[in-house]
Amino acid sequence: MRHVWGKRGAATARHGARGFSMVELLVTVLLAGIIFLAMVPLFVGVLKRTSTDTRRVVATNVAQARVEAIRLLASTLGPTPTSITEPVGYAAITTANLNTPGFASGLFATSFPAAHGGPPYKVTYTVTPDASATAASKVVTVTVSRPGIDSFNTTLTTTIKNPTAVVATSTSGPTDPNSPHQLTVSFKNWQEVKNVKVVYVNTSPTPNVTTTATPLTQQPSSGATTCVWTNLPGGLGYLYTVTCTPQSPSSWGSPLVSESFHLISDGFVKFDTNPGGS
Amino acid sequence: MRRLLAVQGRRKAQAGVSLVELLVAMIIMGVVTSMLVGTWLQLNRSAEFARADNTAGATGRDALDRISAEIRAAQPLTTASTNPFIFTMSAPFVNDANDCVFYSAYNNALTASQSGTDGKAQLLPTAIWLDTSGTTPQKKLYWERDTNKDGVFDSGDKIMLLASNVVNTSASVNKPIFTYFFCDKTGAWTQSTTLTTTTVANLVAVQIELVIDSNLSYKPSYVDILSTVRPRNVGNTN
Repeated sequence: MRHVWGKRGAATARHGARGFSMVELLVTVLLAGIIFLAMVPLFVGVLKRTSTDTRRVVATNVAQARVEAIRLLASTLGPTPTSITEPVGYAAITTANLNTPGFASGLFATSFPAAHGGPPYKVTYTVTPDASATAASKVVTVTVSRPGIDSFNTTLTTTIKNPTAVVATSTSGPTDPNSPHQLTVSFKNWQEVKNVKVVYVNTSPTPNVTTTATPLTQQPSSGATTCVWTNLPGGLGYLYTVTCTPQSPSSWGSPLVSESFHLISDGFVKFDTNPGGS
Repeated sequence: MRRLLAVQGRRKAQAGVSLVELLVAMIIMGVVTSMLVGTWLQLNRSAEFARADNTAGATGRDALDRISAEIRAAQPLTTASTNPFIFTMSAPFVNDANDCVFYSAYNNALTASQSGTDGKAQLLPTAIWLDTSGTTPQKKLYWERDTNKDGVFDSGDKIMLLASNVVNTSASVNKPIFTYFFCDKTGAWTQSTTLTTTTVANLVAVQIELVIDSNLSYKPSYVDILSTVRPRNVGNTN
């Protein structure tokens, strides 16, 4: 019995040390191959994703550059202003303009050929509110994509403020330059002048319109050594001059004429009727 | 008999592997090892690419920021002049697709000889220029300032490497670094890759585009970095 057990024990030991058969090895290799093959799409996906990330970076760079350009040039994109109330280039920031390839000589080109090759990126713009010259601000959305190639869209949004938006009804803060203003004219010696007159030219119409402010002339006196005009039109559209006549002939010429100026707030003009003197 | 069986058993147990088994094992180990080595090399390459990509991108963005700040701060040499850009230099110190030259005091430390003046002495010719020499597609982009104030760019000036992997002039890319945009008083826009004494009066913006090769050691990987700058002191009154 011991002999049988001994034989069985030896057989078991020999069986345990036998190792793998060729078939077992091949099956193992086959299984390992299948597992590795199953992982190939994972590697391919990672590589593809790396490549997509590069394109996404380029798309983001393009979108950022477009947003920068819009913000930087918002006041330049439209026609040259002819008056202070014109909203400069602001009104030109519209969906149609920005999506026109030749707008601003292609500064906002709707197509961007990337250096890495392949189809160009497509750039689209959306402006809200669109085609408005008076809105206090506009929201511009820039979207960069590659239709048919990549599934991503890179979208950036910016807000453009109306450079000429003025709160006309404000009762505090700086005065609206275009509202009526007061002009005070004073003199070093009020007794030496007469016939003080304020003339302003409206430069908007062609030909320009010249007006003499009411009252047409004023005379300073001991009771009122300054002359005051109220309710004069303000803003850069009106060019003012003040004139007065010396009481007696002098070397200064007659009449005395001030430098031209704009009235964008209440103004003050002083005539030095005795330059260098006391 | 028992002794003979024991010797045979020991010999059988110590018989080792056959040649076929050894060869199969070696082939399998070879396959597995080569796969591991391949994976290891690929991982190293990926890590290197990631580092190079990050460094190249950061360098490119730094260069773009520096160029933008310099051009934005370009100033006319005299108050009577409305032209901060210079046209009397020779290549590469000219205003074209790959180079831009202008007067600037940006980041210029005040020296003893410049103190007590109106600041005009601090305005020095400054150039952003691409060294197009060599046969490799990757070119070096430099910043240079006429710090020895002799009116020309020479070896006595301060020079700084902005980026070393610019491929704008590569045959497969061919994109200008500098594009100048103009708007005249009628609101008409034009663009060019050069500046002249005539067109500079209507200069509104400079578009800067750097194409960076972020994978220098292997297959090229090009990344576009771009920005638009409006010089503060140009003559345009629109």
